[in-house]
Amino acid sequence: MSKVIEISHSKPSRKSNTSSVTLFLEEKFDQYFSRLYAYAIYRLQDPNLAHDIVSMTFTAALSRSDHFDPTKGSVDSWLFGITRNVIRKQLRARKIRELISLDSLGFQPPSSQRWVEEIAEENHLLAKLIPYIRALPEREREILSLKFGGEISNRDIAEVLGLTQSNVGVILYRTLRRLRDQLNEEAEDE
Amino acid sequence: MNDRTPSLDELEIFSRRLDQLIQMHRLPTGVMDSTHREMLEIALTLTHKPLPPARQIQDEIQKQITFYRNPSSRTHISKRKLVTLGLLVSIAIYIVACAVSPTIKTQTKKVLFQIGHLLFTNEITNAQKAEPYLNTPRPTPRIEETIEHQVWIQLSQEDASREVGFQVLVPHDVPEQEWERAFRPEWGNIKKISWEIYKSPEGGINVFCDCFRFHSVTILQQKAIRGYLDEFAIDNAQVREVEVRGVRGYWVEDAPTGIIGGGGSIWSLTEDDIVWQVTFENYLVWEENGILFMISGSDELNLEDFQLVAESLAP
Repeated sequence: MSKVIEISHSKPSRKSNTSSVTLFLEEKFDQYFSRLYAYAIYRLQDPNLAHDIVSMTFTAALSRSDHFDPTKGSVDSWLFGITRNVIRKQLRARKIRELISLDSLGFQPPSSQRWVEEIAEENHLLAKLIPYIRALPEREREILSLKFGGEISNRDIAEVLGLTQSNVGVILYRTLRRLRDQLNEEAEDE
Repeated sequence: MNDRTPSLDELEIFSRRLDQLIQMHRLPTGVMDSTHREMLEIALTLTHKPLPPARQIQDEIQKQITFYRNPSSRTHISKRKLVTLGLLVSIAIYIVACAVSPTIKTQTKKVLFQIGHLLFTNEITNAQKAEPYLNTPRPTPRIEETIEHQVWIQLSQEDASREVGFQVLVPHDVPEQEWERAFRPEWGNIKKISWEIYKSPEGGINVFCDCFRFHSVTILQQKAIRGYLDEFAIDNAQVREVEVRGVRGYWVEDAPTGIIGGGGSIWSLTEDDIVWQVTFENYLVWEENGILFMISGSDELNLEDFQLVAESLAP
């Protein structure tokens, strides 16, 4: 009776605590919300999904705040690590759904299309970059999203992704260079 | 395109400028070549947050923090912890009893319980058997070869009932659970459930229901066949007798019966990116008026969630 099922998000346990991490998150809520959202939106390019992801990240972080160990890493790497896992889980679930429904392959959520259109009105260069960011390999897009969306240090990115700090620096350099070359090529073609 | 590795000096200078840019949200000063300047201009564009998040959503999430700091939920957790502890102690006693008593060991070796024509056993599941082959490269069997290709036919509720000769039940009102409210992300949207009915090749009716936020369940309905037994392996899953819709049923928790696949990105859907793995599922099973009902779903849904679905079943 094996069957393929879709995976789903972590259900938040109703565990409660008043740990220092909870208080910290409460105090720095606005700052973290904005950074986590920017990271999620760069990663997913869909505002609705990004909102869901941030919501789930906070739920997961609050329910597991007693698991946070400052000797093992910073709050940044812990929180962005959680967000990354939530995103991966969400992508897996979505992928399964899309694999089951073959006609939806290549489907782009309407909210994502709207988002790109709104970006184009607000920031022309960013709108131009979006398709190139979307076409980046997963690791490069992940690093770009963490660096510019999450605004976290190379050291924290290295911790989240299990890479070395210098590796992160090289990948960032190459990715920005690649985007610059692609923009220049596009300009030449025009 | 130039993908050369930058020298260490070049990388260090660039990284420093990049950090300055992120801190100040403007281009760093100083002499630099045109390539670096253009790269930093791109970086600066990327630091501009692409459309700010909605304030309403921010407020919703902030409420969650209050939820987690609410003393009443702490009391609730203590009870849950107590129940879990009790369950763990019971399981430990049970394991020790099985180990020291050859009689119990023999009796519990295979059949855990029977309901309708289904015999639940503690043998390893098909999913576990398939596990070694799940991510092996071709031509070694992969997941698609380990699962039989079966034809599932979608039916209306009326047609399904006619096909199987009994009234197929569907979920109606599954109230929003507290944990779902914590997950309500967008402008407090209302929970809606939806379902689809399929007839499986074995003749059972499966109702696939999006009964919870982010979670779906499958409700199998099949005439209990007399004089015939079908085995259903659940390995070391926890089994508990419960009351469902006024009759005796069983709650099966953490059965390694599912196979999930995932990985890669939504933007590059290729089959080869997928990593397959065995996953745990929960089951609520009972027999009602000669019909076997089995609700299956994620191990993240608990008995209370499953009971709500069972209670909501109606023509």
